[in-house]
Order: sequence, then structure tokens, then C-alpha cells
Amino acid sequence: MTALSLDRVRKSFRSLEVMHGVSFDIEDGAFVALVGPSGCGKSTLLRMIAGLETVTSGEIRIGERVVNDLPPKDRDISMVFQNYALYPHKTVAENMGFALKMRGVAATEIEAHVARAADILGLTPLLGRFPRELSGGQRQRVAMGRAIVRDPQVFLFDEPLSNLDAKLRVQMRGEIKALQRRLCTTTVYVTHDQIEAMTMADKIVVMRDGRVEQVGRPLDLYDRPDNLFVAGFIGSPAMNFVAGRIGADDAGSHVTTDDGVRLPLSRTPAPFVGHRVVWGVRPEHFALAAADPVAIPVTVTGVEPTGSETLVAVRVGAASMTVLLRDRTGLNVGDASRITVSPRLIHLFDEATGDRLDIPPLS
Amino acid sequence: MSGLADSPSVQIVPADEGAARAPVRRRRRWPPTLRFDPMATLFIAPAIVIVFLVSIYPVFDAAVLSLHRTAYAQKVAFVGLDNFVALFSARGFWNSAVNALIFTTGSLVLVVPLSLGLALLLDRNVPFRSVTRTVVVLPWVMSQTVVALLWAWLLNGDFGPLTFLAEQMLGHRPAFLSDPTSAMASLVVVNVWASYPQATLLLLAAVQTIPQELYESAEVDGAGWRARLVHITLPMIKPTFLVVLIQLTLLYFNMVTLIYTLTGGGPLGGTETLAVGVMKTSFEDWNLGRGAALGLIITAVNLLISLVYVKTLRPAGK
Repeated sequence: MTALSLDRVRKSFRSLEVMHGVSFDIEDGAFVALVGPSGCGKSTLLRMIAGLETVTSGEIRIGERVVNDLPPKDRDISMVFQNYALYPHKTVAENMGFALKMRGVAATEIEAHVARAADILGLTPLLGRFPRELSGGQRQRVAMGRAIVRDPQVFLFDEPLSNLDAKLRVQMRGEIKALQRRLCTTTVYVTHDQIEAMTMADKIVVMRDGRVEQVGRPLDLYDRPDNLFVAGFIGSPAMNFVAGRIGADDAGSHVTTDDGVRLPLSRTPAPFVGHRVVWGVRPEHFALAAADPVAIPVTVTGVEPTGSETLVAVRVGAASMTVLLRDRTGLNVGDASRITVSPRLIHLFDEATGDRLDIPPLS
Repeated sequence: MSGLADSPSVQIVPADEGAARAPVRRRRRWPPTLRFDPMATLFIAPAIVIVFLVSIYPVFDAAVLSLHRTAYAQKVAFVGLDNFVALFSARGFWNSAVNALIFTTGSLVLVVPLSLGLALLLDRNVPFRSVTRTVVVLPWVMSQTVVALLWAWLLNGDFGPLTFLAEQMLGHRPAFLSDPTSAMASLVVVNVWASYPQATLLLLAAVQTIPQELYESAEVDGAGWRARLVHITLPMIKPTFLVVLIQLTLLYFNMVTLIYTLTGGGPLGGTETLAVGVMKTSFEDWNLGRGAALGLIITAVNLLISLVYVKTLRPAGK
């Protein structure tokens, strides 16, 4: 069953259109991350779902209802804001019970709901405190408590972890995901952090400039990005890109960069030969092959060991690339070496359109 | 779908409890340890000298003066609390006290909702917002004397435009300033006109500091505009509200210029407040000793008012 559905949703501020016909569906109970760089329209879209921004055209459905013209309170949603938006003059319990109070729920019932949500989130000892007496993580948890106490149809999260330090962010990431799994409530989660999106979501919607670039499961986006933008946005460190032209000779197919470096490629059908492409490989898919005469010659420009892995910055002709090695290496800046990559891990994109090129490999 | 109601009771154990304890409020040591620091003393000395000269010494001098019979500025004889006894047993004193109460309360009752309403209105996207804001602030830039003279002309019983207008509408000529009751009412209205901008701007500044997210969150929570006013706006501006209330109450209670210039405390003492009483006793009757006693009483009332406000309006938990 579809819990939330957007159909050609557009948004304009006066004559400026910022959302250009966004469409996607979210299944009941799914955790969906809206991800994209700053200014891509993900927060605006979330606010449109919440009813805090009007919809210029198109349709937003929550369950079976079109909610375009419904006020936020009638949409059966709960929202967790970036700065939590806790009422500073109300205690944790009052904050959590506010929405129920506004709906005229009896005080004893509110108390029971709040107690249950507080129990789930480990907030029971904090119910009498004011937000200023809480740490960042606790405030975050209260904001979630306020959202779950109403048992809504959809949770909306607007970059809720961006105010926390790195360690707490990782921990809260797990907590939010665990909570969502337990409650099975459809969740839309806005973030600019693709790691957050990858680790938490069942489905990711990648956005850019008010358009959906790709919708899919996290690993599908990682393995088969639809275009250069998604390929560059998903994955950290980012995918390496080099522009060149597809060529073929007796030694097999290859991409030749503008400065003449030959990059490997699966055997390519003749019609694609001569096509200008962007050759892309993820840093972790390279391997060192110093002794392999047909591997790509590189010059090391930087080495960053992190303990568990080593990031090596290299120069391939005029292009810069990053290589992520699991093993420790004796490479130093200035060293010449060679790297290799399995042809099946190479991504090709049309240089003109940026779209993925699916070239059927010759057997 | 399932939700909170039918979810299994699994507790998420917060792992950041260690870091997440409530901030411990550091208590100041009492009694404070006194340590002479020549450099620090040097830095605060000018401030102490100024405060002493303009605040502490005059109060002290007034206290001494209030215990004497005076002839003009000269102390003639020590009379103990005679000046206070005389004040408390005079009918004029109680009349002035009641007038001060009516003037202060009447003005507050009108100014507070007016300025709050205007602040909320100006916070929104009203048309011609900057022009509207300028017009709203206009009365503030006029001195109390100019305001008094302007309104004295507007309300003049013989040629005042407002008197004329009212006569056209009511069919009889109202005595805005020549009847004790209507003079007090007029005075309150003029005072409201002269003093609402200050309160409006302070409240507007406070309203504008409220994060928009709080309103949006409340909207999602189902709060209508009235609930948002009661549960967000008013509690959030409470500290500024307290400052405004104290400031206005003291301003009204101690006001001399506007009242003295517009009505002179009359007619028949109908608008004579305690503060005007100090002025008249000291500089019309030249009884500085009694004037000082009255001034001290006003000071005590001022302190009492401030204390009551702070006690009753202090934000919860502080």
C-alpha cells in the first residue's frame, strides 16, 4: 500500500519555479531519505508534504487523501525540525503532550501516551525537565518523542542530526532507524549527508535543483547510478571521473583520455567506438598493480593513512584520482606506480548528457 | 500500518547519558570572598563615583531633608517623622495617591494590549510595513512638553479641533480638560498616545526573536492562532513583557512633565498624582522637606512595584 505519493509536484515563488514536477511513491512503513546538496529543494519538498508550504501544482497524497489544501494539523503527520523546535518554556512532558492537548485529548490519556513514548525513548527520568536542561542528544530524543506520541501516519524529519557532533550523530542515526523499525511508521527523512541516507533509508530520492535525479534502494544507487550527478553524490570518497573517447584496437577496448592515457574497458561493440564518455570508477574499486605492464600508470600526489584504510591521491595524465586501499602501502608522494580496475566495476556516462551509458559487453 | 499503540515495548537505551546529564548550575560562593584588586578598583571607580553622585547621594540627601522643616532650600529644624505624619494625615495625599493609581492603571490597561496588538500586526507582512512602522513610532520622537501642548490645543474647550468634532457628533460641547473626571480620562488617552510606541517597539523586537520553527511546529501540532499566541508568543516574550511593564509603570507613576503641562494637576486636583505633588510641594509651595518625604514614599512604592512584577512574572524554572 502506498502511504505517501507525490505526483508532478511543482512549487513556484512568484515567477521563479523551484520544484519542477517531482513524482515518487513511498510504500507504507518505508524509510525514505530525500538527499541532495544544499538548495536542491529537499527541505522545501518536505515542508510541502507537511503543509508548511503551498503546492503550486501537482498532487500530494497521504494514504488515500489528497492533502494539497489541508492544514498541517489535518494531515496526520509529525515533524522533527532541524533545531528540534522544542517549546523552551514547557517541560519535556508538556512538549511531548502538546499536540494531544491541542486535539482536546483528556489529561490522563495524554499522560499515558507521553509515559509510553518516554519509556520507548528512555526519557522517563527527564519528563520534568526543561529543554535548556537537556543535552543535544536528549533534545533530539524529546523531539522524536513529540513526534511519536501522536502515532501519526507519516514522520517527517528535516535534517535532525545536523546540530549534533559526529559521534552522537552516528549513535542517533542508529536510534532513529531502530525506532522507525519498531514503530513501522512511514518516514521521510531529509539530509544532505549521503552516508546518513545510505545507512538509514530503505529507499533514497536524490534531488538536484528541484528535480528528482534518481529514486532507488541505497545499494542500487551506489552500484548503478543513473547519471553523473548521482554517481558523484552517492559514495564517499566520491567516484573518480575522467573524460575521454572510446577506442578499440588489437589489445581490446579502452577509453583514451584527452592527454593520451589508456583506461581499461570491457570489449565494446563497434557502434560505440569513437563516442565521447566520462569514465568513472569508485576509489575502493582500484587495486595496486605496480608490476602489471598494462595497468594504468599513476604518480602519487598524496597519501592519507586512516589506520583501517589508506587514501592515495594520484595523478593519471592531467587528471586527479583518489584510490582507497584496504592494505597499508609503502607509497610515498612522488612515487610512480600502476593501478588496475576490473572492467565490470567501470561506469560510463555520456559526456554530453551526463546519463549512464549501458553498453552491452561483447562476450 | 502499525504505530506507537501496537508497537512492541522495546526501550532504546540512550548511550549518551554520560554526556547528557543536565548542566550543573554552578553556585556562587556565599559569602563572597573580598579581595582587593587595585586595577579592578581603578576600572570600576568612575562608575561607582557617578552612581554615587546621581543615585545614592540624592536619595540620602532627600532622606535627610525629609526629616527637617525647611525654608526654601534651607533646613530650619529637625522634625523627625513630622513631614511623613503630616502627609499621611492630609486628604490631598490620599487624593493624589488614588489619582496616581487611576492614571497608572488606566494607562497600562490601554497601552499593554494596544502595543502588543500593534507589535503582532507589525510582525506580519502588513502593506507598507516600513511606512506603518514609522507612523507608529512618531509620537515617541516628541517630547512630553510638545505632546502636552499639542493635545492642550486639540482638546481646548474654546477652539480645540477635537472639542469641535465631538460637539458635532454628540450635540453638546464636552469638557475634556475642565472637569476632573474627563480631564483624567483625557490625560490617560494622551499618555497612551505618547507612550505606546516604546512598548510596541520593545514587544515587536521580542516577537521577532521567536524562532519561526516554533510556530511551524505548533501548527503541525494543531495549534490555531490563539493557541499559538497563548502557548508560544506570550511565554516567549514574557521577559520583555516584564521589562515593558516595569518601565511603563514607573514611567507613569513618576510622570510629571506631561501632566503638569497639560492639566497642571487640575482641575480641582483631579489629575494631581503623587509625582506632580512632589513638584508642587517642593517648587510651588517651596516646602522641600515635605516634598522630599513625598519623594521618598514614591521611591519606596517604585521599589515595591518592581519587586512584585519580578516575583510574579519571573520565567518558570529561573
